[in-house]
Amino acid sequence: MAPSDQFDSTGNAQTGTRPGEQVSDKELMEQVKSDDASAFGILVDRYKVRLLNLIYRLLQNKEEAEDILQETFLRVYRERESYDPTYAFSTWIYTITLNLCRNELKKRKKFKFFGIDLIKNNREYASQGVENKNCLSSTLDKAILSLPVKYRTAFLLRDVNQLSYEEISQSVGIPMGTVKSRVNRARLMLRDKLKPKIKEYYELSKSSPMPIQLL
Amino acid sequence: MNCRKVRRCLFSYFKNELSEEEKAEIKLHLEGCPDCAKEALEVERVTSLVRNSLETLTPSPDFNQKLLSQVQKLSSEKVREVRRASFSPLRIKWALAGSFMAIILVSVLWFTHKRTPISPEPISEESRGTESLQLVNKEGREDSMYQEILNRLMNESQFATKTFVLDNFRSVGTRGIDGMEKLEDLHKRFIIETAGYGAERRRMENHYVLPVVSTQQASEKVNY
Repeated sequence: MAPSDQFDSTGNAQTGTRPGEQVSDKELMEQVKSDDASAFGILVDRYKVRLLNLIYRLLQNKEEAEDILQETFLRVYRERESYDPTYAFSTWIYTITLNLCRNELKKRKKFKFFGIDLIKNNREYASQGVENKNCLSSTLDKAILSLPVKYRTAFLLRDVNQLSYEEISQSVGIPMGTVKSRVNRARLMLRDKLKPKIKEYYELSKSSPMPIQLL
Repeated sequence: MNCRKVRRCLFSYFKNELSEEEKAEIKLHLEGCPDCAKEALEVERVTSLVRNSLETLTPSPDFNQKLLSQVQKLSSEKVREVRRASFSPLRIKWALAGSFMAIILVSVLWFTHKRTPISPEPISEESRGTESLQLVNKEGREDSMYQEILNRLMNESQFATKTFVLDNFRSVGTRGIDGMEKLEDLHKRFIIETAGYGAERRRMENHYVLPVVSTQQASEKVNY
């Protein structure tokens, strides 16, 4: 997989077009305002994978992630009239996604006392990781999930979803300086957690022709 | 550039967040400093790992379909405001005008009153189109404040149709002015069926709310 390709398949984040595609996000939204379901479907396809993964890494639960993803798009549709094309669509949809995640996390906090949700999530997550115990991706996932939410969010938006600092600042609602420092902290924490594994995988990769991620 | 400064910038360096000048400076430093070069290698590996090795989830195959069916409902339904005074004479007249509806209301009220607890049947396809819900407690008394909150929830939240079973609100306790929070708390105590997707049934207690069926659906069966 080419570098920076994973979620950056929009190509140009500003206009929301991918190489080879004609219609921008904004143009699609114009059509959606006239109740065009197929235009909406295109937008959904453009954003669903990266939003799903963002939500999943914030909430740690696959089922809920899909529910929230669904609700995000429903909200976009419900509030289509209020979309202001002077702002990037991507910023708008990320804002909605993050708000929903934030609400969900707040809800969970209330039940921290009972611990039910926590147990449920931990058990779910643990069982998912079991088969891949030695897999790098699971190590990486665990490392990311161990980051505190604020840092994790900033990190995911920047380094995984490739949003600009400007967009992150708008979507999360914090100053740019704060974004930068959170991203930085997250990166450093991540590096520290991965340090022992990095060396191991590096050593292995030296003797084997396989790329690191397949080990 | 000294080592400390360089190391702070390493992530930005590999992520192309620096100016050409800064990049050149760092590069130069790395060429001459084996310790920093080692550190840089680690950083580079981490960034490439994140880029290439994260597991990517994909939505379930029927995700689009479920979503689009919800969307179609949204664009065809006309969302009507539920008046606050749900039992005002005007409203009753309207209800009586659709006499079938009145009969349903009465029989459902009676039904609720007589039988507790009941495990609700899943909402049938026809009754999914309920436009509004009316909150009543066990005595069948309307609670207008929560009605308003519920209406807001209905319009804004993820459940296109809901079956709330509500007992005495007061047992939940007052949580302050933000009724939205309180009602979301109540979620956890109710049987919730999310129309269409990811049916989530969390059965906590037996409480019921009456679905108010619009005249459009007056002929359809109400199941709950």
